[in-house]
Amino acid sequence: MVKNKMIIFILIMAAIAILAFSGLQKTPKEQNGHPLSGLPMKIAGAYWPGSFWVLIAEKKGWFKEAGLNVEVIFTDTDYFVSLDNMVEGRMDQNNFSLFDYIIYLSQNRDLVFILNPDNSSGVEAIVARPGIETIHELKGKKIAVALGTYLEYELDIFLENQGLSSREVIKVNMHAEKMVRAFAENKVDAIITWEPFVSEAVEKEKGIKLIDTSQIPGMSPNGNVFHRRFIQERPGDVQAYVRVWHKTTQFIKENPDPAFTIIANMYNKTIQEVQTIAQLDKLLDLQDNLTAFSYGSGLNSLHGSWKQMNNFMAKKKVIEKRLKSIDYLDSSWIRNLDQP
Amino acid sequence: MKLSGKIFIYSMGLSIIVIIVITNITIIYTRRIMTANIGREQIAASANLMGEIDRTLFQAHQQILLLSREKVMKEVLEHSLQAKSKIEVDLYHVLNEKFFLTGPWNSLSLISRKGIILESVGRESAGQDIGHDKACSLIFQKAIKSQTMKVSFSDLVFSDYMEEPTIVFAAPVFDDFNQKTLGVIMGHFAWDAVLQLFESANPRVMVHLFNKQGLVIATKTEQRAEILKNRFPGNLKTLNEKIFTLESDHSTATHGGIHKGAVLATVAIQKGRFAYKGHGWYLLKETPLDEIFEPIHKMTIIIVKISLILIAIFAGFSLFIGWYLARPVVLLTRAVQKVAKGDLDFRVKITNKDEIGLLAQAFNRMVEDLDNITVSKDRLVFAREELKKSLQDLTQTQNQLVQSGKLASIGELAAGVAHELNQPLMVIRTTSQLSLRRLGKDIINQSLPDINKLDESFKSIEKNTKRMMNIINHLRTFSRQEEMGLSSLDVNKVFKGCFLMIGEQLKLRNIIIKENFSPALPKVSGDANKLEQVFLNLLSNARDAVVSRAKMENRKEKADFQGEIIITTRVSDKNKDKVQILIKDNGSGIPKDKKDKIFDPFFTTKNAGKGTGLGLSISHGIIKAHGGEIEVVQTGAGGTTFQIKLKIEY
Repeated sequence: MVKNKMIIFILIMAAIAILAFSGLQKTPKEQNGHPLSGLPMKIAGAYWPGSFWVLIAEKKGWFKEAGLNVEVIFTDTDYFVSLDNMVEGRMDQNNFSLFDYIIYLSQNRDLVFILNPDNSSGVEAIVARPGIETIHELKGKKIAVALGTYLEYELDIFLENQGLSSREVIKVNMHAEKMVRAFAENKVDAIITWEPFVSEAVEKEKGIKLIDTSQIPGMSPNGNVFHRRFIQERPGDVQAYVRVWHKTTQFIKENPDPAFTIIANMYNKTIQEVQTIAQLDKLLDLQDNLTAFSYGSGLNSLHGSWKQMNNFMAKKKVIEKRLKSIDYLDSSWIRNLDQP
Repeated sequence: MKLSGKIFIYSMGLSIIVIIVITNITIIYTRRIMTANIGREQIAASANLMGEIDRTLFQAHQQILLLSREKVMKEVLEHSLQAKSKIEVDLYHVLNEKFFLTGPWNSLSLISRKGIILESVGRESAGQDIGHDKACSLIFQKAIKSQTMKVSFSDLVFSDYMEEPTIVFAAPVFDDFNQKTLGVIMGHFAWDAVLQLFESANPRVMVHLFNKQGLVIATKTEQRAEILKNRFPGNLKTLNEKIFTLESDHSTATHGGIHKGAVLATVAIQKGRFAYKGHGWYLLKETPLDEIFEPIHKMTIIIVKISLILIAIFAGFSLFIGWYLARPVVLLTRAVQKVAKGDLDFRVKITNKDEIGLLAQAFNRMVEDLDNITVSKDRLVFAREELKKSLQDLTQTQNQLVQSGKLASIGELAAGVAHELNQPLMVIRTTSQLSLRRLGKDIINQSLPDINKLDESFKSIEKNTKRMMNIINHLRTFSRQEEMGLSSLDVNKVFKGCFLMIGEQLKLRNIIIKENFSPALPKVSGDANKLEQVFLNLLSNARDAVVSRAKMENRKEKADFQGEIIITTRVSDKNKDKVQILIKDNGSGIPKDKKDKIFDPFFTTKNAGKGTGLGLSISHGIIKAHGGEIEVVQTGAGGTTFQIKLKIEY
């Protein structure tokens, strides 16, 4: 009897001790010394690999668990409209390609790029008509491209990467949506466009894919962009947001099938379809981000890519003044994750 | 205070002391270790950052050197010098490629010997004269005058050409024979690459890079406006590479308004790397002391919290242990109290196998033994009632015995009493006969009776009748069975009463009574009837002893034997508060071997049918009941002397 009482007493005391010690653990009320606001946060989500983590984290309840009051705004309808919505303040965050980000910055938008969740890895490509097998064979040929856009930038990079100057080809200004038709009508020798037009040109018009973005990593990075004011006012929320990204990215890397199943169910797709689109975009983890945010010359650094784009834009008169990457690429949130 | 309370207080006191001591020791040693570690980490972090800067600049240094050896550069410069036909090389394309593979640069330019910018990437300045930019011109001149393949570089300067701070690296481009300087390859280092290294997770940690002149050349991005404008507030050369504390007047962090108060500072002095010998810069890292000790404070709070939790847990355990350890003692205490109240059936139920358990077992055994050898209260009460009843029976029996003794005495006295009564009867009869005879003679003589003689006869009759009445009344009183009633009485008078009963018998047996009565004998408290019974018993025994001796003397034909009984009453010489009564006879005495048994009930030396053996036993009881003493003070062939002592009544 007494032994039973003693066991019960010890169990109760142990439970109290565990509860008390667990009470010492930090509850997610702050991030790196910054308090969580608890205010709503409108962020973008789309059927795009770089946004998968947002949808998965929301489904898993990891934003809520981190103390964030997140509202996902689906931006599948129109990417550029969603960017306008964000810069106009109707959203707190959106996913920008680095090129578009610089364009918006050149329009005096005070935005900050804090995270590089993905790099385009095969979405954009040069498709040439049958008979043209290499980039060098494009010398003197007509290439359809949307001038002044990141497609022209990518075309220049592709050409330079293969030792060809952009001055050695004939650029034909054209909207991406119209390129396949022009290609089919033999009005151009090659096109540089994005999926699904790339696949359409290859499959329907027997085009040859000469090169795509997967072959030059880092040439077309995408990033999560916040308003600078938002970051200044709600640093705790931003850090928590980045932590959720890190957690979800690890989950996707370690459990790709369950992760893609969530997306497939959400968009009424098959898991194979989700896997196919995921292959067109390289998901970056924390280490990739630390590398990307390090200042460097090459395309493996966001700063290197930035300089390339900056030079391109300056040369093409897309922007009037070169912008300093260090002012708009904020690595501190990623670096904070790397702190013990 | 209860035992459990004491155990609780002692346990708590001990645990609190132990916890406080351990907590303090832990905090003190942890503070020391953490402070030392933080200091080492600060020094290492400063040195690492300085090394990172050196590595970055060394790469730029080496890359500009390698670019100066590129064949394409030589070709372009030779063409420009010789004013040959238009060069086939796309110089921009070449420089652009190098721009993104080396550096990082803000701009990369190939400059002719004459100082004309042949091509530039990063800034549209082709065709311009380098002399327009003072900083660039200075380095260009150094590079062009260099006779060896050596890289010339500036300190951090504000380039008018680049419109931002930069380090200008320049290397001469020689001809294939290394004899003639063809031009200069110049790179404007992207200083942002160094600035980015100053980004820190902790906004309160300040890092400043100073050039030899004490100007800020690098700091955090948000303090970039200080670059090449602000200066170290003290003497930079006094700083060494050890950890030290900077007070607010020398702290750049304080100066920059980041915080107030002292900081922990570490300095790393630039050492350069291989061919890049460095600029002699100073890196100052400042961390507010409160920031440094924050982990220690947090740890202290956690330790204190843990200590409080531990104390609370100990308190709970102490309470329980106090109760647990004291419980058997409490049970034992209760058991002892119950046993003390007489409940010898109670057993303590403790099954512990420790000393307390052994004690409980021993206690139970002890109570069991006690139960076996101890009479309980109920049993005592029962026994007392039994004894009381027995005593009553005995008392009743004793009273009956006394009465029997009396009756026996009366039986024994009956002959004497008859004789006592017979004598006055004889006198009355004789007197009556004599009177009748005289009356008869007078009637015959027809003379008047002699009145005087008749009166004398009637008086004699009356006197003897009265005497008979006294004897009868005394006998009635004596034979009455009464509870003992104490009253103040004169022992001498009691003896007088005895003589009524036995006096004639003694005379009849020719026994002389000698009365040595003290005339001023104090009265005693006693029952006259009972004492008379005692005296009668002693006188009867004396009578029998004297008669027995007389017979023996007669057999010896000693006719001169005179039996006598001497009664003495006086105040005892030894005990002045007592009356001493001595009854001495010159009878046959008591045999020595029977002297000690004479007061035992039913013991007699007389022949069968002559004594009950109760006389002296009853007499002994009566005297004891009076608080007195009765004993044989002398016995033998010359007779026996009984002594009675009774307390004088005051």
